[in-house]
Amino acid sequence: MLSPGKSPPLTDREPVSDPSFPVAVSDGLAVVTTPDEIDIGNAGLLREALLATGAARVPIVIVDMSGTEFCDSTGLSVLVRALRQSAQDGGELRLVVGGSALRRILTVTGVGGMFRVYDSLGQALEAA
Amino acid sequence: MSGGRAAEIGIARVPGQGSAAHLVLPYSGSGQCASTVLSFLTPGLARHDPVCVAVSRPVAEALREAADRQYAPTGFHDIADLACNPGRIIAALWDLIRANPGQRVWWVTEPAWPGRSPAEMAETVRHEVLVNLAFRGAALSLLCLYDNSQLDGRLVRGAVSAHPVILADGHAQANDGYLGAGVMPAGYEQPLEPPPSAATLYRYGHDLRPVRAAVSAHATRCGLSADRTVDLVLAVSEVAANSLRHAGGSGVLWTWRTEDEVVCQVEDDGTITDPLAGRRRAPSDADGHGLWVVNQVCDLVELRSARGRTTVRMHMRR
Repeated sequence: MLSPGKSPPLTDREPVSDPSFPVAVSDGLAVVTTPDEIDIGNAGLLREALLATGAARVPIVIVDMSGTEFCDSTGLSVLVRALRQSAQDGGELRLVVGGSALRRILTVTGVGGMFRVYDSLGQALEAA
Repeated sequence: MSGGRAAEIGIARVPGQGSAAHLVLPYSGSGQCASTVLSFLTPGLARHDPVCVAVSRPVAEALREAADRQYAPTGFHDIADLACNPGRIIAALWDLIRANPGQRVWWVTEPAWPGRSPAEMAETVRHEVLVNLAFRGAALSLLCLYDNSQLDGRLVRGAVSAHPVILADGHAQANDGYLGAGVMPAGYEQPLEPPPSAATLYRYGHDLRPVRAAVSAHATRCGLSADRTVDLVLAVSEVAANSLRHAGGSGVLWTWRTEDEVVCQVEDDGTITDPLAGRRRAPSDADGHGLWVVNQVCDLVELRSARGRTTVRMHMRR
């Protein structure tokens, strides 16, 4: 158990999220990493992770979906709401999409065109 | 056909801005059909309204020949691409209406052609019935062509009964056989035939991963491409997610194949009360987007829902 003296200042803490949607915050940006499949069963956890990045008050949020092969309309709807919220707050939300299956889903649902989509986390981090 | 009623809805007259017109033209012979279509379109072409024509090749050729160069329709589509799944047409028309505010949209379509499967023909008739619910208050003039000389008589009768106005001898008249908005003709609302005996049954609960894995393996075995396999997996997962959301958290999946198609069917104890479910584009962050997606990715969707039992059958061409 941490003694109160060793507890880091609140602002430097990693935001709390479910282990399947880890959130990392540094240098004015947050990265949410998503699991292999997102659907009605775990889209709520994605929402919580994105809310945690909102609480961290960083201007850029990257959702790293490079390990995600499937995302249903429930998951997409969480992403679209987060995109709207970040635009309202003057921030930016970027997607990293690796797999061709997820790319196909983003295309046929028309959702992909709403986001800035990158092929790798490196590209998303380097983008202006 | 005579008297004031015919004149009131005459084809040269443009309906009021906030009213939709849904007409049918049963025809035999593409030449005569084309001249009637052009009379129907004349007011729209003269006003430079958006005019779209999606018809069979013989009618398209006759139309091109008959059309005044100055007043040619603005868009020709291959009907076989556009109306492959009739469940997409209403959303496509709404897209066109929204893209042209203040103008009337004119649309000529031929949604049934020889060689379509019985299921596709039935869904075409169901689509025609639902059109009368979907466009109230929209500035839309929609003319549907049916080739009497090529199509099954029962199909044409069913389709005609879904249209408030009929074009006969070049004149528009109230269709005495119109059944009313949203009323399906006899035989078009009964439950689907059960899956074939060779179909495979899966039961699912809260975890949809096994459902997606089963559909993916089935589609791949049947030779669907990687992209089309993703489409079918997405469609089935969306429908199964509705079971978890609205139908007590469980359902069953059937998979089978025919000579031409890969078929998946989801059944649960829910009831879908909106007859237009999946036929209108829902915002991507709203409920209802899932069934719209199902219609966008599948080649045909048959949805039946009554008294606590919903069946959604999804077809993909092989």
